[in-house]
Amino acid sequence: MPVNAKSGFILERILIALIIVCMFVPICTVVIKLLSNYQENYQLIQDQISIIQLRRVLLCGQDIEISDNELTFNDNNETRTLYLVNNHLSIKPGSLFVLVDIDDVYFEQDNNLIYLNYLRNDIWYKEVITNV
Amino acid sequence: MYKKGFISAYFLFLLFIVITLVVMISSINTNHLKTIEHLKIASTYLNQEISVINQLRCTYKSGELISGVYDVGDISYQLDVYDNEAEVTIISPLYEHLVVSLNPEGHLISDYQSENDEIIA
Repeated sequence: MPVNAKSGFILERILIALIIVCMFVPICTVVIKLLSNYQENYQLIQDQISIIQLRRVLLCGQDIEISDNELTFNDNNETRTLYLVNNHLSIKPGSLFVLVDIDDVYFEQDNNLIYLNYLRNDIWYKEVITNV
Repeated sequence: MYKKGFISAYFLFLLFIVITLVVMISSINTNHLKTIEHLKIASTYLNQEISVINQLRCTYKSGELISGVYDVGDISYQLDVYDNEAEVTIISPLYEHLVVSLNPEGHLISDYQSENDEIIA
């Protein structure tokens, strides 16, 4: 009886393909996970940069006062307010956006430190922004 | 028909894609790490600026600033006072030069500019 030359041909290729896929699945999983977290990590880093800039601005501010969701301070004899508008934490007068795409914000004072609490993607973040 | 090199071509194609993705992820992570490192340096500089400026503010509110070498915590700095301006040279722990604008009316610090040796690569 003649032996089929292509006996086990498909099985062999499928096995090789399966091995290759099994090799790449863990790598691809990690890659997809990292890529999906990229935007979130990027935003957190941007937030930290903004917080540092805000600390610099408030360092020279005078008469810092907080209400629940506003912070007012005097900057070179001009009263400025830090507040949430259209999901952006901004300083008025002017159009300086400190934090973008946040859902809520409130300020609180503990001892002589003022904290900024902000909500992004259902997670509350708390940062020291100045002292009084 | 037997396609010679059939699997190798697919394998190389997949390998190319995976290597590209790995390089991309590696590059993103490297950039993130660099940014975090720079943030840490910026925070360190800012913290020493906060300590110095707060001490200057307290001193200025309670009287006149006098040139000299001062300490606040583990920070040493040289203060040189001019008419409406003061120059602060932080000697340690990190060298930094601050030009502080003074408001003599209310004895307030109205602004400051900083220079340091840090080169962001």
